[in-house]
Amino acid sequence: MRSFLPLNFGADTVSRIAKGKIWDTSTGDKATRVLEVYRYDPESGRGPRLDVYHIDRKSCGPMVLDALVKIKNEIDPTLTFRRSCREGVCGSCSMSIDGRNWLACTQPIDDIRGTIRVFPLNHFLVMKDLVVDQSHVIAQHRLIQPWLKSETPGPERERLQSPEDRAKLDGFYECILCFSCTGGCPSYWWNGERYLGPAVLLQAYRWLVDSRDEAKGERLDTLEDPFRLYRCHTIMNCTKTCPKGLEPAKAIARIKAMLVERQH
Amino acid sequence: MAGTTSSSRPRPTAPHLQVYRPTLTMTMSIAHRLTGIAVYIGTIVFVWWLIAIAAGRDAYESFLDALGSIPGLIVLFGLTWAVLHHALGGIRHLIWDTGRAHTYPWREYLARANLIGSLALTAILWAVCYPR
Amino acid sequence: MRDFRTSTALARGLGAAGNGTRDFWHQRVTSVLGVLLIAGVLIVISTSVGADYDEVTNLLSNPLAVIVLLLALLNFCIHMRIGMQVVIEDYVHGPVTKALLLIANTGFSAVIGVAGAAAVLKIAFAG
Ligand code: HEM
Repeated sequence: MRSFLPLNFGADTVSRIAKGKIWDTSTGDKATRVLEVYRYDPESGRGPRLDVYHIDRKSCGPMVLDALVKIKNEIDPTLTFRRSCREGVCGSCSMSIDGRNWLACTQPIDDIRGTIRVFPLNHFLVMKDLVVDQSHVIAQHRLIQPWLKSETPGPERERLQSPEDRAKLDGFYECILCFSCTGGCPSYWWNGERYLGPAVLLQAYRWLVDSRDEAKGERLDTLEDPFRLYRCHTIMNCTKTCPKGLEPAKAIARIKAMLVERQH
Repeated sequence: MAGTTSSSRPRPTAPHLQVYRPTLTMTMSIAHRLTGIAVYIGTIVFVWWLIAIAAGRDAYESFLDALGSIPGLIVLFGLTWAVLHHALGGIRHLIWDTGRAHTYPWREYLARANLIGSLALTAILWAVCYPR
Repeated sequence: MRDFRTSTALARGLGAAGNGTRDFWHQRVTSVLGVLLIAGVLIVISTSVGADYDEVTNLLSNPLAVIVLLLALLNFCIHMRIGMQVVIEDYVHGPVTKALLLIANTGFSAVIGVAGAAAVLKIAFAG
């Protein structure tokens, strides 16, 4: 099943997606894969469109990022997207692929049946093609002060932490800030201006459970808000769409539990 | 965001619900919300029942007539399912709130148990009550 | 109108409200108690099915039934108010409409609770 809704359901005029160009490079070969890719050029004066590309799977690498690179190299050099490490650690190439958010570099082409539909991260403002404007989420990330806060003067060498306390960071410190989860969160779609979203809240939790941090109360104060935190309704899209296998919904549940704990 | 762009045309918003592949947990979340709203409105029927009894024999008879009609029975059946689905969904929420069962496949099992459980309980309740 | 606010200003907004946990916690408390109470209510309702008027008033004069119904009305009155408030906050962003809906929500929940309780008390004590 694709989606509950038609492509342009409820879209405002600037966001409506038109039919795009069909780059007819199909050879009719069985190994041909079809990609529908979201295109938007801010300088064209026109709205977004959906272009159709045909690529030869045999001469293409295994991942969706390989397909996008192939399109850029061989078919249409104007196609714009972010990518860097091409091995799932930098978080640059997160996008909506086949109805969920994932890193294009770790999404095998062959795991997708039929046409491969590629869009920018859901509900983000689009700068160009698959490149989205992240300034709001980055500002939200800054809001939770993602660094160690300590008033006690640091020791000569490293700040000590027991192996048990260190283990509490597992499953949370690995976040690469690709914002796949935030893009996939319906609560973020409706209230992203005020709701911090799963990625930022997971980061907030990562600092809340760090035994070396001295600013827990202050951190909780920042989150004690019906919109910043409590828009989370445990829809679980975040956990399902995390390309690193992390569980933002669990981090958020634990933040809520901490807030309850300090009241009772 | 605003203030960082020089272009005059507003930026488009990337599609979201229009392209997101529905997930079971998302669907159950929507169902939890819709059934919550249905039960919210359904409290009218519940309170109407109490008021009808309080108002006397005739009022109660007309209440029973209204609910015994075909549309009345459909509403009642729907409400039964909605209450049970929402209640079980609530238990699912409470389990997730403790940080448990977030991991695959448990979260899917919970969502499935929610649906199957509510349908089964509704069927049992009606099988017991309807013949009377 | 162009918006020249910085990202930081937008992300900080009006600051943290300093609450949210109370409502969250009350929603959980009324959920846990609600599971027990909804079971009680469903038992009372299904017992009444097929009974004649005198049997029903008799049933609802039973102290246990009265207690279950009154507690359920109180519990769900609180629960439904918080629940619908969250729904309104999610989807309604116009300040005036939102304020009106929040007031209507509190009003509706209170009417349900009080009207239901009045009926239960009348059946039990004046029926
Ligand atoms: C046994 C009974 C019940 C349980 C365990 C239960 C549980 C819950 C929980 C946990 C939530 C919060 C969901 C979230 O945080 O996203 C919720 C929301 C809600 N509940 Fe209940 N509930 C019960 C009965 C009722 C009843 C009887 C009503 C109406 C009279 C009701 C109306 C609502 C509404 C309107 C919401 C908001 C829906 C939403 O946020 O999506 N619930 N319920």
